[in-house]
Formats: sequence, C-alpha cells, structure tokens
Amino acid sequence: MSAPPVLEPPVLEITRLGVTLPAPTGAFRAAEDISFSIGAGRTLGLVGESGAGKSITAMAIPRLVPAARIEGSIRLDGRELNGLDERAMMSIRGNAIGMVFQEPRQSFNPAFTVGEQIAETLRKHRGLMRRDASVHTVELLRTVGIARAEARASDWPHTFSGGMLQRAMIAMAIACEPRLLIADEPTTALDVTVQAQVLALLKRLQASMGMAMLFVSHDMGIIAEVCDEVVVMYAGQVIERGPVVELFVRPRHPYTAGLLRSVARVPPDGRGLFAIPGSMPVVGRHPSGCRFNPRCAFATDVCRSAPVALRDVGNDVAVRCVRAEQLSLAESGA
Amino acid sequence: MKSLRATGLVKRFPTARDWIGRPREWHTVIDDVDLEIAGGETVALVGESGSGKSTIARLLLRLIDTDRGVIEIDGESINGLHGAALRAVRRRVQMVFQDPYSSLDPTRSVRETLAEPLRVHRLGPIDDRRLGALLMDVGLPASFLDRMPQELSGGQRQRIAIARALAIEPELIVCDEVVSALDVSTRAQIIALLRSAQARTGVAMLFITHDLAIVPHIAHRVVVLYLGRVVEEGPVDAVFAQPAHPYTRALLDAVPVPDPRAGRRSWQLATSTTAAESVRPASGCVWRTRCAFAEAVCTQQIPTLVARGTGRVACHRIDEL
Repeated sequence: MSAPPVLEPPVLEITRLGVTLPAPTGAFRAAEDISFSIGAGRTLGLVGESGAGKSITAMAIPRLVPAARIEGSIRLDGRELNGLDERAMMSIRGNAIGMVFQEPRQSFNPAFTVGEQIAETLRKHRGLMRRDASVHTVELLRTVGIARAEARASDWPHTFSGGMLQRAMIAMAIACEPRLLIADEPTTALDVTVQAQVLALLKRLQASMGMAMLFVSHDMGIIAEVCDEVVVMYAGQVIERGPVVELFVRPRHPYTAGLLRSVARVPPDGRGLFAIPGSMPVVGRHPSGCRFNPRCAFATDVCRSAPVALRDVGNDVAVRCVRAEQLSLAESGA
Repeated sequence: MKSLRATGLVKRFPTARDWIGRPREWHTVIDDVDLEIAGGETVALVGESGSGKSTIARLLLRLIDTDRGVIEIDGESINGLHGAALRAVRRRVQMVFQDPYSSLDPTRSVRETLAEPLRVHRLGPIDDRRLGALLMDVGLPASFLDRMPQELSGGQRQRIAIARALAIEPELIVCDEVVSALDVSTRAQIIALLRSAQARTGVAMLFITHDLAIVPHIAHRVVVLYLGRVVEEGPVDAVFAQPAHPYTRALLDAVPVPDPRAGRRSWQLATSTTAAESVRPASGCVWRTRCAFAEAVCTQQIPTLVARGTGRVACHRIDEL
C-alpha cells in the first residue's frame, strides 16, 4: 500500500500503527492499521468525528498517550521512534516534533509568564543561556504576530485572549524549528476570524521553515484550506486516504461524502444541512462487518458480513468500502 | 408570546474601584442595543468573542440587570419584576448553554434533570410517561431516563439540555452557542432538532453563535454585534446575499471554503484583519480600528442604524462601498 508520491523521503512515515489503551473492562484498540506519510513542507489532515481515533493516532507519534501499547512503525526522517527509550523521546518532543493543541489555556502553566515558558523550551532543547533564550523568545512572539512582543513576553497567560495565546503556543511549538508540527484541532476553540488568522500563520510558518504538518480536525472546510493530503478515520480505522482534491471532488467512502455534505457553506447552497444519521459506535462494541454499516445508506448484506480491508483504487486513493466502485458519491457543487 | 422587545439596552461593568469599593471606571459591554424577537421566529445573534452576545442573553433572562433600556414581553416591561412575577417570566423564557458537559448536574440522572423544572414551576404530575415523551421529542429513547450524564455523548447531553428547556413549554428559548462544541454531523442533528421543536411548538428562539455558516440553516433574521453595538441586521437571506457592513463581510469571508480548488482566499483576508484584542475606540464607529474603509467621519461620529433594503446597517460609508 503506497503512500502519496513524494520526491524526497518523507519526514514522517507511519506503517501499520496500532494503539491499544488499557481500560477497567480490558484493553481496547483505539486505532489500528494506520499508515500514511508526510513530506517536508506538506500538510496531512486527519479527519473524523469525536471517537474516530484521530487524536490518539496523532498523540501516539510523540508517545503522549499514557500507558498505551503502540504497535507498528513510526519513522521520523528515517529514524524509528517506536521502541526508543523515554529519554530519547523527551529530546524529540518539542525539538524535532512541535505540538499545538486545541485549548491553549490548558497548555500554559498559569503560574509562569508566557515568555518564561517559551524560553524554558529554548534552554532545555537548544541549550541556550537565559539571556539568549529571552531575546529569542521575543523574536518568536514577533514572528507569530504578537504586537508589543517584548512587553507581552512578561505577561501572564490569563491576560492573553484565546487567539493570542494560541499564537504564543505556536511560537513555543516552532521554537526549536521542528521537522514535524502536530496541530490537534488548533482553531476549534477560536472565533472564525481568529481561526482564519491562525491558519494563515501556520501556513506562513510552514512555507518559511519547510516543516511537515499533521493537522487534526473534524471540520472539512478547514481541511480543504490547509491540507495537501487527507486521511479520514472512523472507529479507529482509516476509511479513506488520498490527495485533498480527490477526496473533495470524488469522495469514495459514504462517510467521507457525509462529512462533506454536513459542512455549512457560505453562501448557503439551498440544500439544507445534512446530518449523518446515528453516531460513532462505542469503542469495543463495533458492529460486525464494515464499522460504518449501521449509519450507511448504501449498506448491503456484504457490508454486514465480513470486515472490510483498505485497498488502493487508483489516483493515490485508498478506501475501505466494498462498494466504492459502484457508488457515485460526488457532489455537483463540491 | 407575540414578541420580546428590548430597547436601548446598556450594560456596563466596573473595571476599577476606589478605596471603599465604589466603581471608579466602567467598561461598556452593551451599548444602546435594540432587539426584537417575534413569536415563532428565530433570530441569530452573531459576532466574535467579546462582542457582548452572551451578555445580551443574560440581560433578556434577567440573570443580570440592565443599566439602561427596557425589556418588554408582549408590551409589558420585565425590568423591575421580582419574586413570583419574575418566576412567571422565567417559565416563558428558557436557556440552553454551549457546554453540555458543565450545564448538566453530573450527580443527577436524566429523569431528575428533566423533572426539576416541572417541579419548580409546579406544572402538574411528573411521571415517567411524561418525562419519556420529553425524551422522544428530542430523539432519545425513554430508556435514557435512568442514564447519568457521564454515560452520554456530547450530542446526547445537548439533547437532554434542550429537552429540559422545552419541558415547561417556554415561549422563547435562548440558545447560547449550543452547537459550537459539537462535531459537524452532530451539529446538523441538533439544528434539525431545534427546527422541528419550533415547527411543533411555535417556540421563538434567540440563537447566539460566532459561526455564520450555520445561521441560514436555523434563523429567519440575523443581528450582527460588534463590541456591544449592532452594526447590521436584517432577514438572513438578504444579509447573506448582500452583506452591507464591512464587519459582516469580514465575518463571512473568514468562513472556511470546503473546496480545495477555491484558491484558499481566506489567507489573504486574514492578514489584513488585525488582532483579536481590539479595544473599544473612545469615539466614533466601534469597528473603525479594524476597518479598511475608515475615514475621518468614522472616528468622529457613532454611526446609527439606518434602513437599507429589508434590513438596517450602521456605517457612515455605506452608500460608497
């Protein structure tokens, strides 16, 4: 199963990744058989509803899922991360891998100033002296578009607005010029206008630094704006994977098509808002056959009888649907 | 309810106090806002964080008091009401909040949550048949009565919160960012649910959101708020077809376009819009510090809402733009 073609070797290459979490009722697999790769300067979107396993997959890469058992291979610039000892992982986190989360207010320690926290990253990972670190911190804050950066560096996190704090979070994430930036729903908590600014900032930084970006979101509108490739997840599995234009113009999986139809468009297209009926199955209680079949308008007996494999269908697209060739899911206006 | 009408609402909060605790400086959060919601109608109140949307909701519910202005339901002021009279108003106006994880009491079952408003307002016998019917109305099986909030998904919790609001058959529901925390497909389900509840009961709705894209799917009229002032209002179709105020246009432009071939235009716009930490200007138009079209007049006079087409717009340069 080949990943989308990239000329250079990919920055991140994930092969048959599985994440098993412990639970009181016995371990369960939150993600399984995940494969994708991201080249330098490219952005891959990881899409799905809550419970699809997208955040677990993203957080398994820097091994930030406590007590999880991780199978498969995670290669960063060719170096295998799965199996590295914790000390080596600590130096990779924040150094070669930068991270931006949904809620910046939970990512900053309220008892230290914003500048101190960014400077700490620089001292720890790049070995800068205190003075150099604080000079560089101000530069970073300026880079992410924070006005009066020098004064703001010594302000407390609570004095920052949500959008400004997310910019500061991004400054911290890029402080060590990471090869890979993982952005987990970085704009979900923000206003649409601020969201547009933060997305523009991420793309600008990516263009100047050439980092690969893994962008986790449930919003297909945002995915269309920032991603080159897309991986759609459902109930812990990849159900479709391919170049962004392919997925939007010709979705092959009914779930991908449903996500696309549920996006509210401006101006409205006059068709009303589509809701995928039902909800994601509870982990560990997956239906037999295709995991999406109870919510699928096209499900047949074949879909209910046996698990469905992810398979290549050409144009760099892979899909986990036995009926992919028979269905015509493309939208006229998409 | 025929109509809820708010006229000239002003709300200020103290930002500094003197040595015996008297307010010394004020921050005006709501500045001369008029708002009208007719029976059976949905009005969307849109704007960014800090525009005063939620403050208006709290004023209408009398959770906080206005500093100036009148709120009337069917022509009768609710400003000075207290005790039983205020309780009677609260029976007519209900609220649903953004975060279904904090708006439901985690120690109460769904049954207790739904029964409480009926008991508080002494609305007849409370039995499982009646409570089960409330659940059916929001698309959940009656067996959910025994569930605890932590056993429910975000979308299911929001359905419970809506069922609780509908339980006492209110005439107006204030929905404060009720779908913002939900997945896109769950969001569509909740919007469909609110629409069908309105079709069935004729309840009016004030739908507060920062997400303009969903407004055409739920509301009849839209009111755009910026830093406590209404900058544009009108029928949803008209405002979306021809947004007049530069702020309305900026909000619409910021909505992501779900088409990777669309040229990704919102990046260009994003750079021209300045920081979110806008300070309310001391004079003139509230939007002028972020407006690409601001002129001398915009810094001197506060623009008033004037009729334009089927709506109203507050912009000095409206005829030139």
